[in-house]
Amino acid sequence: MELYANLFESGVQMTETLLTVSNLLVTFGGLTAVNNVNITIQEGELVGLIGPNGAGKTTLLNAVVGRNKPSSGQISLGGSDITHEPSYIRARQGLGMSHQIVRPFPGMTPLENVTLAAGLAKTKNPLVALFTTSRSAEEKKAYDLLQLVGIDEVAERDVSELPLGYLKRLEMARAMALEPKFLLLDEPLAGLNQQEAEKLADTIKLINANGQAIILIEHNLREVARIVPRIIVLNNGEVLTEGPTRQVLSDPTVHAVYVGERKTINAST
Amino acid sequence: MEYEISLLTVMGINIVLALSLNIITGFCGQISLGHAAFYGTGAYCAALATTQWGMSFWSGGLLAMVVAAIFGFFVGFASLRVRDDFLAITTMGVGFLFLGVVRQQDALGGEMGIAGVPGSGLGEFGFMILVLATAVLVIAFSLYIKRSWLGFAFDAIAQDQDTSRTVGIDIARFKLAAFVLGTAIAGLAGSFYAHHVRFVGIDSFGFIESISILAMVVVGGIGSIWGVVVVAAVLSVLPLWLQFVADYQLLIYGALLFSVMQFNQGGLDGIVRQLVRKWRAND
Repeated sequence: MELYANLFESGVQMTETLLTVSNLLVTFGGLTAVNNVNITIQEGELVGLIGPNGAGKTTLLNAVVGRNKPSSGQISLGGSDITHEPSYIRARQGLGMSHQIVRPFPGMTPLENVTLAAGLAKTKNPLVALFTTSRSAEEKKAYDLLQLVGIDEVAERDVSELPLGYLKRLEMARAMALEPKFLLLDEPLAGLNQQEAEKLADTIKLINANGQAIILIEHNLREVARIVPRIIVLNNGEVLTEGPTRQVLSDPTVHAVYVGERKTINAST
Repeated sequence: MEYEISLLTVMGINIVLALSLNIITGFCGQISLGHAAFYGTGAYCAALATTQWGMSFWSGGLLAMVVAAIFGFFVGFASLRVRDDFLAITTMGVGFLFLGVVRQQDALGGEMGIAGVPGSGLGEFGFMILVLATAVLVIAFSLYIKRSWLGFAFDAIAQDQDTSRTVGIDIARFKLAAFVLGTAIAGLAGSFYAHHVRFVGIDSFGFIESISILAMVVVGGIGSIWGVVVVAAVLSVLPLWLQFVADYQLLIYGALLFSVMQFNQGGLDGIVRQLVRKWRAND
């Protein structure tokens, strides 16, 4: 476990508000994908974001990291308004997202993918980048992160050879390499078998235990129920309910939404 | 001997020129079909500086770099708004714009160009050494960029701009940096050209020249330093050695570009890599 001690500062205060999303509205043409959503995440929190397909979960997180432009509303990170900041500034200010649809740099190895993200200080601007060549510290950090998510054995392989489950974990390692204040994980367990999913869910829990605030979109409700203390449920772009995991998952309205999707909830597992 | 000196000088100029485009298109993935405009800007600056403004060969060369880089900076802005095929068309337009403007300016000699550009003052041999030394420096600089975090970020932008943003890269600034570096070096190549040929005219900086430079980069292997150097060197000397190549230069460049795009997009570099891989597999 000493590996993680090197990667994260522990003892983070858990009482401060880290992220506030207020009255967020995201529309695509005539379609309202996210409708007047308000959420608050505290520092050090691990929050599950669930809901049926098309509920607006990914759209909401994409708006938070700056991939989608909201029509109205406000997003604040650590007290500063980031609603109009471009996505690269948000990444620099502490938002790291691992996407549902993986997009590794195809011509780089997993190690290079993560090393690049770890070199945030060195890619600050072209001049700094031009006069910096050393990569050893970033590579060490990248290797540790690949080890943390369990794909260090393919660190030097061609990413095009890797199955989806590996690429999902690569995305997660790359997002973590930014040392984000807030880590947004969009279905990191999809494409993994149950054993791998359990292992990665444990890792997510462990990362959170070291003070990292995390929001987790996940359809694997068994793992969500196991590791997440608080859940927000989205449906049709709106917050249906939120609260402690056990309470939310036993809520009949949440069941109704999921039964409509032909899904079952094993909240008790 | 004079012939060989001239040959090596032309080769050196083309290596510098091809590597300058390789920074923009090869490293940073920004296609340019108008690179001859920056080459021409450098050549015209050096010609004007030394024939009319009383500047020396050295200060004229520096001015050529600075002016080409400023021009490149503004064209680089175009790359921030458009991508890929649209950028190709935009840069092609810049190339034509350059020709159109120069053709109408009496101060730039219009259709007649500027004659009587002085030599470098180093003698033919000394100038060849300077050009070849510059080529070596540009090769070294290209290798250095590839090793640096600038090259790392360029590589990321060339592969996926959206993902580059998610890892905190300000792609606008990095693209502008690629344009400024690449066009400054193209300007330097242009000043060498002006002092070598002792004349500048618009015919040397048209669309065909832009495509020729691009052919050197694409056939060598986009982003590959050694591939681009070898192809730039070979394509520079072939027309001088073989009359057939000189007569059918456009046809040959076209056929090379077509073949590379159809059969091996990695160019010379890609072919060599495949051969090495096969050779290792059979070993």
